[in-house]
Amino acid sequence: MLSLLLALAQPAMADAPDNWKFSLDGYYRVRGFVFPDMFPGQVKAGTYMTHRIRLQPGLNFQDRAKFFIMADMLDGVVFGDNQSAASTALFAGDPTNTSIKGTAMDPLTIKRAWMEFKVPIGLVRVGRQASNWGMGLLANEGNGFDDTFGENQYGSTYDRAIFATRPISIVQTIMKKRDSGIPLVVAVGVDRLVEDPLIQYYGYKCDPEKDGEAGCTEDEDHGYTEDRTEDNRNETWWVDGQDDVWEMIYVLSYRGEGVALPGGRVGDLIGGVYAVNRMQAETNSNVLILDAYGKVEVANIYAEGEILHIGGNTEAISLAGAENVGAESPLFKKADIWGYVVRAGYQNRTFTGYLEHGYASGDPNVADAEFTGRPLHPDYNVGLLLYEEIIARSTATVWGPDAQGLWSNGGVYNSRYIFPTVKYRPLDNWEILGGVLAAWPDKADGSRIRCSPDDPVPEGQDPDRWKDKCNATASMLGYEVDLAVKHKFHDHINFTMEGGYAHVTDRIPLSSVGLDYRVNDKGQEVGDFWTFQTRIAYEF
Amino acid sequence: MRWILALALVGCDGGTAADDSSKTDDSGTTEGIELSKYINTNVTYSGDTTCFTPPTWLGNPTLCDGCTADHALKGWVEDFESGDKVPQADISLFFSDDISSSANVETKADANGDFSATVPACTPLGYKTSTPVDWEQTKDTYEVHQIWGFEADGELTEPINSVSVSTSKIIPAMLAVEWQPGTGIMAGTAYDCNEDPITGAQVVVRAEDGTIVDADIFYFIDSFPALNQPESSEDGLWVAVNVPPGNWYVDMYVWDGSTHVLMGTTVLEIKPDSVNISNVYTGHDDGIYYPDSCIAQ
Repeated sequence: MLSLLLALAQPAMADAPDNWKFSLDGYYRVRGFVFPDMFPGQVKAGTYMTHRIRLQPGLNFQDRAKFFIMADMLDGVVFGDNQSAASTALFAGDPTNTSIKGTAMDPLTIKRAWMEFKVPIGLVRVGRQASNWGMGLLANEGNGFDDTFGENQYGSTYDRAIFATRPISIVQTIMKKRDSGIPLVVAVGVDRLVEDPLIQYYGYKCDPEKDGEAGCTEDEDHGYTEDRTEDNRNETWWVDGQDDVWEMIYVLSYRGEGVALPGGRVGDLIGGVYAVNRMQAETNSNVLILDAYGKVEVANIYAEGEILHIGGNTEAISLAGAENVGAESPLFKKADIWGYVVRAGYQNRTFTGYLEHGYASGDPNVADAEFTGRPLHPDYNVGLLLYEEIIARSTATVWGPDAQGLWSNGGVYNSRYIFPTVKYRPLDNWEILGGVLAAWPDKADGSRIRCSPDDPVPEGQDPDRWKDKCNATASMLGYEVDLAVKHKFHDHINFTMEGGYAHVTDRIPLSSVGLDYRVNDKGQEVGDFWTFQTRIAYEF
Repeated sequence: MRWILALALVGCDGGTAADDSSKTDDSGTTEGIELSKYINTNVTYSGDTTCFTPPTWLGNPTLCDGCTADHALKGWVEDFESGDKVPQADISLFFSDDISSSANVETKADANGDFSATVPACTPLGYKTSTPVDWEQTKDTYEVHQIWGFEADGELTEPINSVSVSTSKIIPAMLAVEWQPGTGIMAGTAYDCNEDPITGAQVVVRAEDGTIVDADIFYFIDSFPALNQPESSEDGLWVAVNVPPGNWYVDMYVWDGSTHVLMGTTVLEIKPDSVNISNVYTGHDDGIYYPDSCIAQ
């Protein structure tokens, strides 16, 4: 999305020579991790290293028609023969393809492939493509090494057709006026998220336990949803439109660089709104996502922020809420999810300093009719430990493998935080960074984030039970200190060393999720965690 | 996710609630917890309890001659939540109904989740299903007071339950409860005289001396664990999380419009980090309920 907008934001250029151009972007990255004290009883630091090769070749015909493909190889593959290819580990030779989850993985994945071409009034991009907006809280392409700390691991990818245009230029052309080059872009697109879900939705049309077998036709002998396999599909599996999940995308973006600002100053002004309307007919799902982004930079002072809201109705989530049983639609859920990050600071060639504050709303009761929690995008990295490792592992353990949609995956989760950060660049290719993260819970729930008696009682909770079981004492989730040194040499080699220390309070259920903890002199269960990580990458 | 738990789990004297018995001791019970913390509904129950006049328990029936004969069990291990067969599970059968005794049968389900064993019919027995811990596939699952009825041909075709790691995590998480390491989960159904689920029942976990265990007890709605359902719904299901290891009694009460009446009790042993299943039957103080095929006519 960003590159599409950038392409359009630039004034029209003369046609390139009539020939083909081939490009190759990407990198090979190795990242090493050291966790000295993550788990109870750990007597020695746990270490591992992973690969990622990202290749993005492109064909460009006269800057008018382009085709790209993006492939990841050995993505997340852990160094070594971890599938016992050698019968005796000591004699291992050829390494195998094993993820950090310990499972074998495909060494090659075609992640994205798309074309883009100009039309008289704009640009069209069609295919499996990256989605990126603003700071990346909602849509984050996960490309490159853009995070202050940590690594991109996921990336937003959609099967999408999108058209973007510069409406002011069109109007000026129609009126036979000179294109003023105002960088205002409007885009409209459509994503097809699902053609036919393998998890078949049945809702409450028939529930044998409730209505009796006689009340159900043969095809409706089921509960709310039912898992299928590909073998259960017939030749017309794609015809049913009721189960399709799709979304419309609307973008309004202004990207002004060196524009006149109030007060007679000149600076950069970027902003816009990204709206997504996601729908699925059979589940009566109609969800509107609004995401606004803005950035202003004047005389080395800059501020940027992104705020998103997800609202709407759905019956697609099969964690039915008790509150809705007996209602016309027992599976009904109303989404009301908020997230934002604001950042302001000073930057010049050698120094950057800013204060960042962010928020991701939580959900104290995922089974009720209100769906209020969603982490920020996991590739919007905030620190190395608290969100990236501790809460990621905690939520994964609490929810288990069948509820992966509720894992944080390292994104900012059910909390608000501040993260002041400084960067010093003694030379153009050297950067020293430091940050201090402090985080507080949003809506403690009792299992993922422990509650304290002073927390407000969530709707649906029995107040007496809440007071009785809520015995966390800390107001914070914890704090973290991160340091990094980044160096680029030979123009293409990117080397980073990062380290962090996190103190986690008794708000995180360390003991019950299998993470290392100690009981402090106040009787509180707390954790102290360290990490050291390195990255070396060849960018091309 | 298919949340039809299908808890048709094959599976002190009665009287009114008067005594209220806080301070947790090494046994896992807490002195001073009042019964009213757990038994407090004012919703009149629904279910046929005419077979039982408190406080006299019904006692065990006279069994038909030869009913306890050995039967050939063609069994399978079934996932508690999905109903899918669980392959390669280890199975232990305890004919004494005591899961701490030596197992009478130790076997393993095949790749399809099936197994066979010779078991006595019309006899309360316990079982354990498990898979290697490293697999992170299932939690150790125990069920006691399991009685399979008499079959004239001497053959039984019955499932036994296994709870997946995933289910064992999701239930406490949905209930906003932190499952403490070393404790267990117990779950079951509250049944009436006809072995139909009772609506409006509440349960409490206690020690033999009546001291109440400070467990987190919840009920279900339409087989879903529900955070704010104060008594059993039409499915009769209940679950207690964070029950310390030990031998415990689960008392089932109903509100008859004027008082809370003890209608049934079951007895079970909780193992650490495990899921333990036992149902509570109206009129029975031991959780043992014989099918009609076992009872002398």
